[in-house]
Amino acid sequence: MLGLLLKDIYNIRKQAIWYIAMIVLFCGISVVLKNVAFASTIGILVTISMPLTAIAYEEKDGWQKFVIASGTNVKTIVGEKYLLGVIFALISIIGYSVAFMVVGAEEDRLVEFTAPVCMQLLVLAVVLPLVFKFGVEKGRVYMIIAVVLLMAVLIAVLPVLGNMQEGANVFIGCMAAITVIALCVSFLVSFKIYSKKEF
Amino acid sequence: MNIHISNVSGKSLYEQIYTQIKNQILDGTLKAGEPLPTIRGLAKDLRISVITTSRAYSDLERDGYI
Amino acid sequence: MLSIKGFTKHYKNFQIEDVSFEVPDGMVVGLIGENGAGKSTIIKSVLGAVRPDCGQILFNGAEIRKAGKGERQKISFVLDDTGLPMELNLVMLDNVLSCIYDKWDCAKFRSLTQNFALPDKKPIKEFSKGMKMKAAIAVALSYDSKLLILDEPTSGLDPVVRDDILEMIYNYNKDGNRSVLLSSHITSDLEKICDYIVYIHEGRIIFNEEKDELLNKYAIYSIDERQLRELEQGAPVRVLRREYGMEVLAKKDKMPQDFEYKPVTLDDIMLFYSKGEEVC
Repeated sequence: MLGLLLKDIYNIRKQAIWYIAMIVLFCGISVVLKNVAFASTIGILVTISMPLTAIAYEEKDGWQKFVIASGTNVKTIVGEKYLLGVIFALISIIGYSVAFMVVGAEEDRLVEFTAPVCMQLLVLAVVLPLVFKFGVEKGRVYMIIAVVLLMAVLIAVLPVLGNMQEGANVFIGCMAAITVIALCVSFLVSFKIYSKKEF
Repeated sequence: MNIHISNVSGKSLYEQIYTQIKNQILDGTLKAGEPLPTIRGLAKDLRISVITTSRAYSDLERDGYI
Repeated sequence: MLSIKGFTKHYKNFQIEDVSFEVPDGMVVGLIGENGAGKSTIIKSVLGAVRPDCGQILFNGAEIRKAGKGERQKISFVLDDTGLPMELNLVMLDNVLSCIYDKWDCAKFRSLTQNFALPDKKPIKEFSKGMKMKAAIAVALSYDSKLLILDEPTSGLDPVVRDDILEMIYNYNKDGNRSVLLSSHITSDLEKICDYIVYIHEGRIIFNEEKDELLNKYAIYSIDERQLRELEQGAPVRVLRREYGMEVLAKKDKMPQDFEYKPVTLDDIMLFYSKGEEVC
């Protein structure tokens, strides 16, 4: 998996720098405007854009048949794309955490913290199988729809979450569980889709 | 060593090689102990298949020339 | 080393039916056929990128679909669109491939790319077509494989580069321990280097013969209808009727000895099979 990750990072390094700059920018805006909405939503875009861009390069290069012929197994090939997404999710989360703490974190705002984290991972879970199935061109459309939807939901819901007192822990637990399950199911679906593909 | 093969001769390629090497051995052009080209080297130079050269060489060996 | 048995694959507009042939140890097998005949599909199936509907592909006796990484990495390949990541340069590619291939030999890769005069730090997308092919070949030769498969490695390349590539194939095969499967429609390249020729036409195998025998066994005769009727049964194999007359592809040993003939090339054979007719 290291080789695949290295190749993707080489491929997308220029875009990655832009996106990380955007994370910093949005987190900065959040701090300045004292509103975590900006910092919380950018991660959703970044997390899915990076694997998508990487897959776009692979399609253009004809790399997929190369890597299959090299004996690398499908689990590794598919898993690496999820890993790439998770890595950028973590980078976004770091930025978001900083913004979150600066804007003022209180313990019971943990709910407000968890929601975007889960959204970022959910976008990965929802969009990646679609990209594997339909390719990057169509995948971008699904990506935009999913990102806009999730961002909208998050922005709508964040203020409500901020005021949630009772059941907060239950809510966090549910969100976390849903996210984990979604990722596992997504991986299995992607694996099946990719295993059937022909290049 | 000079071997010349032709696609318009009536004989098959390995026969041509066999005959030419045999003649060169018999008339002294090729001396005893002189190394022959490898079957692959000869095949490459003549642009033919190793199957053909190895057939010619094994026939030569069978008949005691090499 | 490689054994393809009853390979069958159906696409919407195109079928490959019951193709069987072998690549013996130490031999160079050439796959010829018109564009779209099925050569690339067969090759991609050996590499695992395509799955046959029927049939077996055996590598060293074992079904290749079940092959693990170790077995798969005994096969190296050069595809006509290389598959290499175009944004990377050769140094980056070396780093990536050394993680992917268990037996990756960095020193060998570096020495090959230097011999081919390929620039280290330029992204591969800026290479010419010939350079891209040489890079792909350098990759294929850097992890100690036993079978080298090439799909149209010389298309679009000038004769000097083509000769360089054939030279590399020869060196790979030189010791007799490694085999090569080479698909091309540049028949002059195949005539130089192959031991066997497999001809695939419209998804079926037309013949699978030793190259020298093939080129030696057949010849082209210019004859007329009367002479055609008088020929021995089985002597003429295909006939090509042109405006100015008629040519037959025939077995030399069954034709009258006093008839003049031209030696046959692989191109001729392909033309006779695709544009000519069977002799009844």
